[in-house]
Amino acid sequence: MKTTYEWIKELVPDWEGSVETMCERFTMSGSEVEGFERLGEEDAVIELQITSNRVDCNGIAGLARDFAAVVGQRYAHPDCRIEKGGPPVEDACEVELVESKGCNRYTALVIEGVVVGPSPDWLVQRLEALGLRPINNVVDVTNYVLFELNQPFHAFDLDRLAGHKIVVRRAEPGEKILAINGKEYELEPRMTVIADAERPVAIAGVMGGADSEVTEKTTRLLLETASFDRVSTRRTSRTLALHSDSSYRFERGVDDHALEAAARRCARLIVEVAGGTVREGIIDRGAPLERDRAIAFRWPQVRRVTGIDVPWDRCLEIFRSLGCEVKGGGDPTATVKVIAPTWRPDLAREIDLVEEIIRIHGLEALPEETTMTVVGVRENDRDRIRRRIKERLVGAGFSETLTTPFVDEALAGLCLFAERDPIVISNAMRKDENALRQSLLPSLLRVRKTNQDHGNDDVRVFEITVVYVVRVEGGIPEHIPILAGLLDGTFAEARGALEAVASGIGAGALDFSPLDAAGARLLDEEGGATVRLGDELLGYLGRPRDAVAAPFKLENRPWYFEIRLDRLAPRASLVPRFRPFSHYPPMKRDLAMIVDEGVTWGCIETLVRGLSLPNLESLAFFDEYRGKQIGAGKKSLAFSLTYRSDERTLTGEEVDGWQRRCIDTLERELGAQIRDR
Amino acid sequence: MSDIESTRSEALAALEAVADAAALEAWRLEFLGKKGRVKALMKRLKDIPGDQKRAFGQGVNALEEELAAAFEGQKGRFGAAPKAAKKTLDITLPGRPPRIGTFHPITRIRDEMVEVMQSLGFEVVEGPEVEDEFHNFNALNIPPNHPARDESDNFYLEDGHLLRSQTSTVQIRVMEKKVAEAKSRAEAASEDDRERAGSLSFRVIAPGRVYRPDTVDASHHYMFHQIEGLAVDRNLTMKDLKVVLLQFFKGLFGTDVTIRLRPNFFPFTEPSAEVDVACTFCEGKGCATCSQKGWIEMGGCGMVDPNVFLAVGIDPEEYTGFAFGLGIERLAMRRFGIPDIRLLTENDIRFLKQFA
Repeated sequence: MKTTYEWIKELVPDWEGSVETMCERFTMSGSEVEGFERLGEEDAVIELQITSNRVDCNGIAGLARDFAAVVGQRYAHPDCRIEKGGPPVEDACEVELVESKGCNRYTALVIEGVVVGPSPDWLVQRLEALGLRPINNVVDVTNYVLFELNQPFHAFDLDRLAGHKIVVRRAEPGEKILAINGKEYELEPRMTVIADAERPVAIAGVMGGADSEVTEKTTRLLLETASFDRVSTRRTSRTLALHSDSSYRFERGVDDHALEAAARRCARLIVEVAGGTVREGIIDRGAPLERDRAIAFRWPQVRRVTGIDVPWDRCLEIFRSLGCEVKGGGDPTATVKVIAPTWRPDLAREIDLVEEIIRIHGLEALPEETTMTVVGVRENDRDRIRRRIKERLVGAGFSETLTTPFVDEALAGLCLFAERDPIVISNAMRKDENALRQSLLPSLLRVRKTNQDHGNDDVRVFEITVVYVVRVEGGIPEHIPILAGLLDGTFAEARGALEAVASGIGAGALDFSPLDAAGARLLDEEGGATVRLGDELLGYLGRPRDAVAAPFKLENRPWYFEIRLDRLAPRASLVPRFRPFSHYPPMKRDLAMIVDEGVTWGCIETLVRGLSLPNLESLAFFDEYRGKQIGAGKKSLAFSLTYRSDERTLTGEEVDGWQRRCIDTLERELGAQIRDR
Repeated sequence: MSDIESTRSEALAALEAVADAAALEAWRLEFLGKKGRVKALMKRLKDIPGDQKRAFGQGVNALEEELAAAFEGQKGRFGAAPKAAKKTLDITLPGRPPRIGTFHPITRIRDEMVEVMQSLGFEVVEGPEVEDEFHNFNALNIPPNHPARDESDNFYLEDGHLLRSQTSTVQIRVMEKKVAEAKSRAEAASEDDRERAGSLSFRVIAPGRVYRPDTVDASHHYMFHQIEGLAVDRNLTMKDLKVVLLQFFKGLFGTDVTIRLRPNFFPFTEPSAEVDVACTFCEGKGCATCSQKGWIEMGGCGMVDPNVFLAVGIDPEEYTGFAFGLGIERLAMRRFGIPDIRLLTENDIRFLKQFA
């Protein structure tokens, strides 16, 4: 919304102050000034942002009225008086309001004897300041008063209306109209139109028609001042992709009680710039939409909500300056009745009045003091777990990404945990981002691709976020919290990172077993693993299948893991407990066993642990070797065993005995051979 | 052959003349060193005609042995020979840093905000990103047909749900939960204690992602983060809101920060205000950072609208509350000097690695 500095000053005549001061006061009372531009020596064009509740401020008079209240000065409403005279309006035309849903009130004035021509300088200057192009004196006045009073008008050439008649009705199927912008529009039956006896002459609230518009030949005007329905105006304007200063205002609302005054204001200025006389009376069809404008107001609520005392007299002054009527204002302890003005549909409840008082009184008046008790709270467990996981991964060289949840519908079906239909966005902005992800795999593959394109090697990234899976038909989809990571590196590094995550939150040892069917849908069985903690399936680790990775055109296939945090988090044990340790020396023995290719470290570990060797403190793998000395189809697995007692120093002989049992078992069960160095 | 001979006599003569340990070492290097003259002779072997090669090679070897023996014989003369330059640690070589990743800048700001708010007694809560119209609109006092519900402002899903366009939805989720908890507390309490047990008093913050179909450019994205604050109690006022916001920004920017509240309109708060922080670059005079305004817009705030309370079953005559919602991206961009919002979701590791 634009206004000029002088225009506001004209309506708040006793106020003196600079453009900067005016802008500051507007901004601090809720109509934020976006900026201003000087206009000659004295004047300036001010651009404001009007909040959607303040429809009255879509008119300069409304802005000025509010400004007057803010600065505590008199507001002078534009002059709406017209000379009495001329024959009755009813003799010149006829108005029929059929579609009262789309138009609750329609008024018409008739002005005769106008001389259409260029507008005077003052009018041209003001319109140009608002960014409007002058057309002719009649049209210019209707535009001027539209901006002044937030009331659109339309001036018809009365003699070009068939039957000198106006019918407000719905459009008929197939009806078309050539609008004043020179374009033809096909109308739909749910649109409201203004028609004459034969055809539509205007799209209600949006734009007039070309063949009844005011031209230089026009001498008799029918001036329409109406109130069109907000929703249907918006719908029509959208359907036709036709937006105007009129539709903008009808979509937001006009003061339908003030139509007659607005019509007179407009007629007054038309006569002033184009001559002519206004016929006696006004045709008035329909009625204003009535609402209960009486609000019960309790003064103590101001203090209860804002925390400060605004004196009763000051409250009364604010109400009056805004055009509110206060009934029974003598006693601040009683409930009083405040009647909101017709131009303020946003004032309907007591809280609205409380807001007006603090708004006009000034939010600056709020002192920075409180009676709130402040007791800090500690980080909740969910955040703590996530932070520890992130810290572990960051410490392991992973950087945190931020990816959007939008993926191509074709990829949205990718889900490691459930085979579900993708959740599709009905008004997606891009076709390849039209569904919500159910796995982070496509997102992180895309990150890898971006980095590949940018020439970045050695990518290690992770993200913690949710994926969305339909659970109950009609319900909100389940939001599953996920930890996902991707790295250029080895299986061992990926697994190590996950193990570090689990140990970082005290969740115990993870179990890695061959991929199950669900995991194998997305990940390669070679090197892929199902990750469990106890009996709980946490997620998967592996490299994406060729078919999954193909769309991303990666040069290398990175490792990927995805873990359900909703399953991991309950296993967290955030406060470590001290465990006493032995003061006696350890006995360490290394062992290398040659086994068949098919024997895993897991087999050896299970067998050795199964022996429950006394005082075995740790059993740790350290090397895998394949080579000529060992022979084809075989490999050597080297590991170390550490023995330690809590009670005494162990002897070499007893440790040798335990080692023997260990070797015997592996030889017997796995056909393993001890490797001589 | 004469070269071998001349080298031999020269070397032996020079060895006679050696007077100290340093000269002895210099002699060793000259004749027996890796780049010494004996080695140089050996290199000439390839140029010697075939029939003489063998004899030449043997000659050089014999010379080397002889000179080595002569050197050994002289070694003791001057005490311990100076050691070859000691292997020293070159401390100008670059260190080998542990491999460490980084937190995303949004996480860093989010965590900072959370830390400050926790110290003011606000607990972190979360709500779903996919929402229904009740929580995203109706309960937030946004009536049907309101333009805020337009397709141009929200991502709708085919099943009728939508991606939340603001974290204010979490206000509703939290209040519903707190009301239910208070109710069951009251039911469990003895008759004397029922009123106290069933009363509401809470402060929460909800950081999270929100979505709006904005065309992506340097300063707009369809996904961004907000942090929502909500406090509900018996005697909260707008003064308390202002103090909490002031403390919050002091915690984020330093104690000399000043803020102002400026009236605005939001359907779910009343009175509503915008909270601005005085531009720290120009101290309020106006500069490029604050678009010449002297103040930087941080977000919206206000007192919980009675209609919102009614939607979740809280009596607005008994309770008041305040709420605020702030954008995280702008703050992160300003703090770290990030010029383009798209960098935040592009995930180029050269970007991510900068926020160590």
